[in-house]
Amino acid sequence: MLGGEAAPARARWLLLAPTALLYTVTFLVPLILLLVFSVATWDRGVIRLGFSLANYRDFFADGVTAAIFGRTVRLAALITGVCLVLGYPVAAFMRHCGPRMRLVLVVLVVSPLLTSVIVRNVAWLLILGRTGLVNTGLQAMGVVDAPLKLMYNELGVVIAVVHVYLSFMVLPIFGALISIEPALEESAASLGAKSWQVFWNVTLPLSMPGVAAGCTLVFVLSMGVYLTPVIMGGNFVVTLPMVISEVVRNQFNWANGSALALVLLLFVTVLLSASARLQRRGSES
Amino acid sequence: MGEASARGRWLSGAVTLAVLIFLLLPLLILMIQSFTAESHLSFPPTRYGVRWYRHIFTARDWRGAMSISLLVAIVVTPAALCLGTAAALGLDRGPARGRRELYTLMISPMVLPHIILGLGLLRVLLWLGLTDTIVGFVLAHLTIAVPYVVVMVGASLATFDRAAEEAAQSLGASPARALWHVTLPMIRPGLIAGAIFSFIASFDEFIMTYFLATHNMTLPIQIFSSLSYDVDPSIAAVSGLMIIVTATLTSLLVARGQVLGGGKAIA
Amino acid sequence: MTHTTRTKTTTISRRRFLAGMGAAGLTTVPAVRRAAAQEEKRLIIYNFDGNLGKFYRDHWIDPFAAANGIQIDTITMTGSAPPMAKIKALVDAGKPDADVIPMQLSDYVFATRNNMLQPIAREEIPEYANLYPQFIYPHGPGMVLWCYGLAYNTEKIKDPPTAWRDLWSPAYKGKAGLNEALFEQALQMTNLAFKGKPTPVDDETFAHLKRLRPNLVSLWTTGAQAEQLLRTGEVWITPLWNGRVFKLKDEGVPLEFVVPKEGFFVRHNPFCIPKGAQHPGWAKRWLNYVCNEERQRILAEKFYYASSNRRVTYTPDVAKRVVVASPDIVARAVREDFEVILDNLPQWRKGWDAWKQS
Repeated sequence: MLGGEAAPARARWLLLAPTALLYTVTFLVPLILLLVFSVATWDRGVIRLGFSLANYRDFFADGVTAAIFGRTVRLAALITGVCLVLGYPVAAFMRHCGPRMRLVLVVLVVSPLLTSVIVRNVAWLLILGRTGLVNTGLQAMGVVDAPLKLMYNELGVVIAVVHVYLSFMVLPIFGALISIEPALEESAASLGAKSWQVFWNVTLPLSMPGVAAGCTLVFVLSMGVYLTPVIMGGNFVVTLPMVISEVVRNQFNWANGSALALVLLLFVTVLLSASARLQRRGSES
Repeated sequence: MGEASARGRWLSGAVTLAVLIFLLLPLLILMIQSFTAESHLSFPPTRYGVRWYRHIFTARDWRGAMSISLLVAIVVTPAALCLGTAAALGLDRGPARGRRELYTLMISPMVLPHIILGLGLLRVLLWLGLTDTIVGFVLAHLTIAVPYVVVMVGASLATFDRAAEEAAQSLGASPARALWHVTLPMIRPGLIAGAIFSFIASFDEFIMTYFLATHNMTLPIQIFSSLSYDVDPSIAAVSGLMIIVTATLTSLLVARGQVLGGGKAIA
Repeated sequence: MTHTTRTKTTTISRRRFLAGMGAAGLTTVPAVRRAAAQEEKRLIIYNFDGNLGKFYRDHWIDPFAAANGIQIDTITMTGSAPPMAKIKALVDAGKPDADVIPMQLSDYVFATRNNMLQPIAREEIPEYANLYPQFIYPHGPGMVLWCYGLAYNTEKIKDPPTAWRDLWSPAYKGKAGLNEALFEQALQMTNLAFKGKPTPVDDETFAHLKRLRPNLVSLWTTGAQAEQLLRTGEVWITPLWNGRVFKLKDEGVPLEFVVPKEGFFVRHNPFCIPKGAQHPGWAKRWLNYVCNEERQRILAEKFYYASSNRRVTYTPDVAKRVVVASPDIVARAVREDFEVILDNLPQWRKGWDAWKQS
């Protein structure tokens, strides 16, 4: 095509070079710096460079940070689960729509991304607060006597995060669903399978790559939430990114903060590669 | 196909409707709230007016923040398009070996928690003296915008039929001309989607910019800063504005049917 | 002393003018004057954002600039905290971007330990003679005193609280708030309530804090959040600073401020000059200017921040709102040792996070 065997490889590197250069400055070098800081020590406000694994040791040893990490994982899993339960039906519905309707639905599903994270949370304050829309409505209808505690806890955080990351679940699943040959489902049905059996045995397995992609994406993004737990969780919900920010901004402890950030990075990377391998195996079978 | 599957269709339809209400409710509340004439947030507003819209266009700090956000996003979007399209082309046209690994590498800033990116970038920019500068913001936003372009353009390229390009080349066009006149127009949906996502990603970016900024404030940081002092309806007006602008942009493109035309990917 | 006054004034006799300038703190020692004369006529100051920043521009910055014919640029701090990491990097490179930085006390400890500030001799700022000694630091004057006490809703709470310990009362179940951003103060407050002194923070402290948990609705981070919670009545009682409470009260929210029996906290901002600043002479002159009782009094009247200047007199109404209005009240404020606080911050933070999860 572009002439010769070596040319495509060369052309590829040339095309990737500008982005690679950008990433080196804004991504690779920062990571190296973080690595250097993560083995430094914090001496009462002063950072001393050197080599010490104290920050990493503390992560597992002090009992608190590992617990926060665990809860961050649990929260992310919860959010992913809810997104899956809500997102799959939406993707399935979109599959059976005409192109115009699909377009409208895609835009609507993606719409929360059009607003800033802080503003969204402020809107949720007005909806989920004690005197907010939901509670006023429920009390007016007589469903409850006292306002429900929908905010300043994990529930509030889950609602707000699901709201914004749902599209990251819907779109990959939708992509997987429409690449399924309808003939497969039709032939299963014609062989006498009930519709839920068709779904369970044919549609769902074939849509697994999309499900895996969506779940991975939502999970990883949820591991990184920082502002929403502060506003919606009443600060009671502590995530690892919040700890990282606090440690760096208020304690000036770049050493500890870098170590925490790198542990988070490692976890996320392991997850992504495991998921990629799973998806590859799924699509090969 | 039978009433059972119709039941399934009905169920998924019901869930979809509920989900859509859930997704749109906060935006609706914000839009209504932005037209309040009161001086603090409470829903529903008792008096209406465009007072806060006027405020955000006249108040110096809001105007400044909007200009900076706009400036950065306008610089980032074409830059991200160039870098991302080149990268996507490189991946698509290059050898299949290593493609998947390189692709993951190229889109990694999109999935990694921004706090990690922000922390590291802060240190580098501190050293370069570029914190709190437009250049610094552009570098940060570019890093998270390029992956979106790589994904969108990459999806378009994957479903793109090379035949047209090959035909153009067999008629004597150079690879570059074939690219410009044949390929790029046909992957326009990917380019436009990439541009939209880049713009939004830059315009909405908070945490990386928060670590970098002190004096120059982008819109999200201005919103956050105003939250520190007074929760006044300015933020509702600002988000109302952002919703109107992005919704207009998107619907214009949707109406022209350009966004998702072409590839099998979505429509 | 030469000034170029660009202000529009009617005729004032030169002598009265100079006398007025002296009273307004615009005169200073010869050494500083000489230093300033050698610098370019410019000053760069880190300023707060929001209404407070606007106040400083109007009352502390613009008048000084006009009276001395110099140009003053400001750098706005987001959230009224200076970016210490950035400032450290700039100072280490020898090129700080400002001449005056108001910082929080924990920032000040960090800055001194990292050698970022230049010392200011007592003679260089004549107004020091009028300040309470405990607010004079080796690197600058402490100003903008705010006081931390209990704010409560007068409509919902008929029996006013009088002590920090009252927060634990079962009557406030699900109705109390705490400031997450000042968690170290919350810990010290718990100690004050049950141990009589602010430190040490230990397991006993957290045991008491655990009992407070059922009362807490939310740990708010910003003043605006606290306001929202108090306005909507979600929170009836919370520690809050005096300025905010009276501002809300003026806006019609039924709040009152209580100085708790066990003691109260007074915090302030040291205004310092970074090492390598370009215009230290002008910076010191400006610091002298703003320490003056007139500048301080205006601040107190507008924002209810008390002054570190002994000579400021408040009207009775303002005195009540400012709280630390006289030397004996200042003496009763609980002293916080910020060296100890910064040293222990990591452990305290971990304990705090652990408490939140339980």
